[in-house]
Amino acid sequence: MSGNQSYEVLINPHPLYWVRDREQILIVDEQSQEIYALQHVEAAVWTWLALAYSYAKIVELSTAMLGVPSAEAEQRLQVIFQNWQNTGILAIEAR
Amino acid sequence: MANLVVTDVCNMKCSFCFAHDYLRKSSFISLEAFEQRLDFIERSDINEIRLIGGEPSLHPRFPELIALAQQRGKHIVVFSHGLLSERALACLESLPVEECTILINMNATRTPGQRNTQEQHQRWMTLRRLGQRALLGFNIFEANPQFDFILPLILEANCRRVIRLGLAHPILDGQNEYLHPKQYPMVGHKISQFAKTAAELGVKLELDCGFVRCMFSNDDMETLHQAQADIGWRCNPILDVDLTEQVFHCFPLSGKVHRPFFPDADARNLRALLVEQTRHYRMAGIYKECSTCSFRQRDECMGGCLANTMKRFQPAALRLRVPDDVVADWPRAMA
Amino acid sequence: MDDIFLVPVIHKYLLYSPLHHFVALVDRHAAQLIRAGLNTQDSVPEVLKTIAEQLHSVEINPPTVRTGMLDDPLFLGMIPTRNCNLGCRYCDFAAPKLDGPVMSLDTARQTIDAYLNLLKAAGRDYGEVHLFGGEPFFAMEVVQFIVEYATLGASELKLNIHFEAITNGIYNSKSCRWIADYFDTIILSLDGPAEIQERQRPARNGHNPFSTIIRNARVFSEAAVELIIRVCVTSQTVGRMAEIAAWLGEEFRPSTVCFETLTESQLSRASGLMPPSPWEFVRQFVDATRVLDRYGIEIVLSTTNMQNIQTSFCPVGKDALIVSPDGTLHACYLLPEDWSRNNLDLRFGRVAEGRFEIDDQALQRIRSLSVYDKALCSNCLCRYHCAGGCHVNHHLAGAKHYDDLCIQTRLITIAKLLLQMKQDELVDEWLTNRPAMEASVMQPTDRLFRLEPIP
Repeated sequence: MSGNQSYEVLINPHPLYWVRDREQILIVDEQSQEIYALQHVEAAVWTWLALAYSYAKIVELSTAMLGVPSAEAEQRLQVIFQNWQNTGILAIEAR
Repeated sequence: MANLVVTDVCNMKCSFCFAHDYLRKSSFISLEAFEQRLDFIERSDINEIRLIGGEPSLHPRFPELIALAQQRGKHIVVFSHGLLSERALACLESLPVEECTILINMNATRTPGQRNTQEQHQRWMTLRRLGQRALLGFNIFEANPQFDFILPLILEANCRRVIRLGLAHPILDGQNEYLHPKQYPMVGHKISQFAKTAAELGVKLELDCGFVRCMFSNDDMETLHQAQADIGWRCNPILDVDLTEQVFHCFPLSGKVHRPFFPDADARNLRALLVEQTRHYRMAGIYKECSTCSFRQRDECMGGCLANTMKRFQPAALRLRVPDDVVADWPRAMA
Repeated sequence: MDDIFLVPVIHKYLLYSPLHHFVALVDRHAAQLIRAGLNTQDSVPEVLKTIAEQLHSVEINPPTVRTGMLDDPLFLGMIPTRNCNLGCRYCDFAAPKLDGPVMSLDTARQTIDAYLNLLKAAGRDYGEVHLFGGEPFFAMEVVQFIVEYATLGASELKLNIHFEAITNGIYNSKSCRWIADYFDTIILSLDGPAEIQERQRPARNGHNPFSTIIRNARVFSEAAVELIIRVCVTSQTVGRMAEIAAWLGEEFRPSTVCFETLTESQLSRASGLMPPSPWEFVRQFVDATRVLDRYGIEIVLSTTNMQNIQTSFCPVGKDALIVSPDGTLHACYLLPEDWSRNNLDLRFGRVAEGRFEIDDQALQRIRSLSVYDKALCSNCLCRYHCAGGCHVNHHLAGAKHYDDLCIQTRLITIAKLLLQMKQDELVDEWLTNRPAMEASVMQPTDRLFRLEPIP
């Protein structure tokens, strides 16, 4: 990526609390009183996000995990991020 | 069930105290407010009046509180450390045995970590005078609890043939000493062995809230059943009505899960509200395995203490910079 | 029946049969009567009948060396890197320590695929992934990938995987929280309070990492992860074992504390660090046992774990699959340089294309490394749990006499068996009577039927 690349920032739009269970990640949204369960690849992506990995690193790890070309991994990531935006646990930070 | 907090004063320094962060004030309930609480108990069809603190007996008008409670014709329960003033002890001693239970916390102390013979002697004198009114309780906050000393006291002081064992739970965001769930299996085995010894002397164990099924092996469970121990897998809002017109789920969650107490409040509604406030955390439990555990699915366990469960959660602080050109096609959901 | 051992303890005798899970304390006359009774089926006095009956009862079979296909590995070991950010004064792991090879994501992926497929093909539903180093978390991204990928694969194949790592405890808070949440067991190397830890385990960059390690140990203490603390004991710290035990018990809520004595090496000698005397170590070990018991914490010296009836003390011979950063398959997590100094080759294959390519001859050679080849162990009561100790560092070839490691294992085994029988007073008396301790551990054989006469 070039030095003058511009970015959007994805954040959790309101306080969320999460825990790693044996087979899933549980996320509590106290505002909406909802709980979400993430499994499989989604759980891994959430973890890497929570660990503050860069987008490029998450793409690299997802590529290795899925065993697919990186463009395909990136597409899968996009679907995951869009789902999370739809449920309200992720949003693009307003500039 | 509901506990009425009559004071936030206590003269003990128990390291495991669930109310550790709560006991910073020096307030006592007024007789008028106490009568309101008694109306609430009656209105809610609750059959016990349970006085809790702090140490309830330190209330300067303790005998009057007891007299007011007695007028309601319900069973009176007092949670106490058992190191009572002569005035408070005489008041409790005057209650008919069948109308009261004085639940004595046997490991309350002013000197945590040290043997205090003066306290032991004073508590012994209390037990002798209360006799069958006294029910002895013990809080487990260490992996190797030493509770055997209680049995001879029960027999010698002729107290009720029951020991109430409680697990010391963490105050959410607090600083008390508590038994960590990873220590439960070891304690579970010790409890089952203690139940066996106690049963041989005609004493039954009663387990308080927050126990989990998997802390006991099948052999331990068999031993507990043979000893007729009273086991429940509870973690429900008891309702603690405090001095600042708040009702909370329980002391460990007092800072997080509470509701205002209105003069015409009803316990059933309050309990439903507190359950709803914590519903989404109940999917998890005290262990990683709880959310998919078969005991849980068969309703043989509730996943343990909610404060322990909530303590496992961490706040999310997501912040991912994604190149503009990648995001360009995404739908815009702005924060 | 031959594997029944008798050891004098002052005026009493410890009778121990690991294959019957049996232990008793008897006097000389009783020992003679039991021996005669077991030998000849003669009548044994009523009072000794229970003992004789138990020793006549069916014993478990002596442990055997593994044969056949490798389908029941002890665990999958992964070494993401040999690099480490500490410069422990007794650690002989070879340089370079900071810029050596790191396992690639592809090797990690193929290793996990191979392991999960092996488990599935063998019809198993449980596996263990253990991470070793250097310091495994020095390659944090690789470890995080390993855990996520193994979890994903295990979930698809309906396998339950236990994650374990041995670590020095140096990482930032976020990583530590991740380890605490995602691992089942953490073995933390922590030799004692600041002055001990800093002397024995300093950082390579001159910084003092003690406060970071303590902060992280507290995170492990508060989390669900099982915490095991490993303490390396030297001649300088042996006198402080009880104090160290109390400190660990008070501060960190470990399930287990392992006190292991320093393995002497060129580097440790150059650093002025020496192993403790075994006689002093056992005294301190017993004191530490009592301290930790108050906290409900188990104490371990790895060669004295009597739960395990085994032919080999360590993963070697148990089909552990330990994968080095380059994908080579080893039976031991120590360095090849260390094995070769003891004329051992513990390589037995490699990971390739998502499967383990196993060299069968090498596998059989490694499996045959067992206590049955160690002559000195043949008459020792510890043979089925110590099994001769580390194949790499405990040199027994041609040995005629017990060395300090043997003495320490024998002493602690005896002390543990006596404590198990609540013989605390006898233990205390024995520990202050050096000739009696020597008589216990220096006899030429412990075998009941070969002691002639019973001493």
